[in-house]
Amino acid sequence: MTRPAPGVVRLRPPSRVPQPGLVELWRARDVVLMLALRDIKLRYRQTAFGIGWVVLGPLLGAAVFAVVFGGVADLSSEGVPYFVFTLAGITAWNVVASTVLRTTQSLVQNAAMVSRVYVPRLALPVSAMVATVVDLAVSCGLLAVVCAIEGIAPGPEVLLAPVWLLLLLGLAGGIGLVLAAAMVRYRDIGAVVVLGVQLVLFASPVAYSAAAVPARFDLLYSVNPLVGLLEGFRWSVLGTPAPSAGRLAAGIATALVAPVLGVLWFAQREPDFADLI
Amino acid sequence: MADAPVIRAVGVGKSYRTGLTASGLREAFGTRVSRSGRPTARTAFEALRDVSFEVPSGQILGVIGPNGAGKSTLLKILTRVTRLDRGEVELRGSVGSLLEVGTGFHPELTGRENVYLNGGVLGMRRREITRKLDEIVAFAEVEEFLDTPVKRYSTGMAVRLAFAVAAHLDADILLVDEVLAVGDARFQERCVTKLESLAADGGRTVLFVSHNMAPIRRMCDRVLVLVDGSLTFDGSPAEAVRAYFGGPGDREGSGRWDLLERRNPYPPHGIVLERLVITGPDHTLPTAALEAGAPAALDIHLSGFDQVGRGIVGVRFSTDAGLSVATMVSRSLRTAGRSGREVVRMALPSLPLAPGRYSIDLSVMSAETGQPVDGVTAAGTVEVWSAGMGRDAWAALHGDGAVVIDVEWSTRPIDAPASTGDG
Repeated sequence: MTRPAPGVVRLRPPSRVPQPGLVELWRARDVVLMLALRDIKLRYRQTAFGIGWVVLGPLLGAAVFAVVFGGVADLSSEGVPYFVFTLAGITAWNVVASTVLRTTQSLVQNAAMVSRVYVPRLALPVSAMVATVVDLAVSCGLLAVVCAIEGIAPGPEVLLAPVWLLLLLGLAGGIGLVLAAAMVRYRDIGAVVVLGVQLVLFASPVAYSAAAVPARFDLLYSVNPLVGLLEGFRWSVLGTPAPSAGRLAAGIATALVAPVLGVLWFAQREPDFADLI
Repeated sequence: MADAPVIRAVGVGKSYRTGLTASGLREAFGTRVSRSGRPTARTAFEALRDVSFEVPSGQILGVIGPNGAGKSTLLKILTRVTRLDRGEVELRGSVGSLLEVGTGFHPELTGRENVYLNGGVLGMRRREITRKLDEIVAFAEVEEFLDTPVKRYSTGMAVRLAFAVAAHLDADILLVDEVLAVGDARFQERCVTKLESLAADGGRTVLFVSHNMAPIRRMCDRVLVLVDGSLTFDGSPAEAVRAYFGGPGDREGSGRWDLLERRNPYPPHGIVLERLVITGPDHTLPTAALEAGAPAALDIHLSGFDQVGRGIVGVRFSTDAGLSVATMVSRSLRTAGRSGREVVRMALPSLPLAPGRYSIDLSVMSAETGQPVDGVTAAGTVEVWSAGMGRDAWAALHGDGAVVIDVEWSTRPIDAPASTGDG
């Protein structure tokens, strides 16, 4: 049996310039999908309620926020039922939260794979992102159903909804890549991220509207790039007031830069992963 | 260029910065780090230095060496798991690795799901796996359990499935690390056969790292010996094994082991096992490579004999699978000199062990009280080989037992009266 003339691969000491393995990631797309599929299957295997948890989580979260922020604190929800208002917020927020949490853990959780076989390292965080997208699709369906029940018909701006979600995914993915690489050396990152995500949830317009934030916090609030993107999503879906141009620009710019920086940061540290993990 | 080497390594080197490493690495070369106490700041440890070699297509190349010699680091560099710091490697063709069989196996997933995942991780496309699924499952003999979660598999089944996936990789270069240490003898035999046919019929190049000299001697066309990160020998398997085991110095394979540092928890009085030296037929040069059927001797160096008076020495051979093969116990011995230091020799006129790896446990008892006074488990390790036997006869023997019993075979017709054998 003769085999076709194979290509030549040269291995050299890594250069100082980070080399993102995007071509290799594309070649490994099968692995990315298989790993994502594994994550999804594992999450619901041997659970009685199965995929129902994806639906129940946002519903309960939205209900709690509606009672606390809408009922007890009596905040405004821009003319939309408070429950629907927070459900839209949670749907977009979950993209950020679960992407950051899962990508951060992706290398350490697959430590055996990192230290023993060659899988393009980017495949691990990227597959974690793919798995979140599946959850996202389910919760978007849920949001659509709830909107229909409440009789909220979105305007043409709903077509922009996927754009906001993509920007949020990119922003969170970029942050997740940096944290995943850092966690290879410092396991503390895992605990820090869980805390950080909880804090940022309340520093972002998820359970309340950005308009409810007192003016003296304005500057501080504008630092959070999530504000423009989360409000943008709610505007697209529910027709609430659009975010200000400044916050919008800050959000979009950060969301475009974050994945690039994340990939470069990740590539810079990638050669040492197997030795450190 | 048909004659271009498939693997070309030039001056390959790699260092670990031990001060920065996590516990896993520290453990990997534990002695080095602990010798200088706690690892300070950034000390570089050279795992590989200036390693150069070329491998032509279709060759099975073995790599042997003591623990921590850099064998696994070399494979990890070739598979691109870890980076190299110096030199260059050229690989002609796709690389598949059986570095850790079953990496990516998840207990909650079914056999089928794990085959896909593991195959993907090892570099197979989804379509390719689908095409080979039946073949893989048949090789692993897990047909009925394909849709059962792997957590319900026996260890043997999981290992077989994992090896089967890796063995069906369509890679030009296969890197194999110690996979044959798992599974039962029959399965190991099939793994060896599979690797041999991949090289012979498939034109694959196999780089094979092992501690076990049996498959090395059987499969490899050529063997590299790595010691302390440097390439010390490159040549035929038989010579390499001899070079490795007969080499000078006090390390694994030298045939000389200092036991004082490895004493057991017995109270420090009475007879102390100081050293074990093993020699072959000439009884002069220490060696840990012994020939089956040839003379050999174990010299056990003891001190403190004068305090106990009379001592009894015990020697046990065990296979590397942990099976005790035989225990020899001396008669009551007494010291001849005044120093209390003694060498007790256990001579074997004809070593009755089958080719393989054996570890030797030593113990000493007081002849007066019958109490153990010293003992060292795995005091030394020997590799038994047999040059006279053909490869296959050798392997069959190895698979079936640890002891060679001297027997005579004969035949006679059933209806004839019993008489002496007629051959």
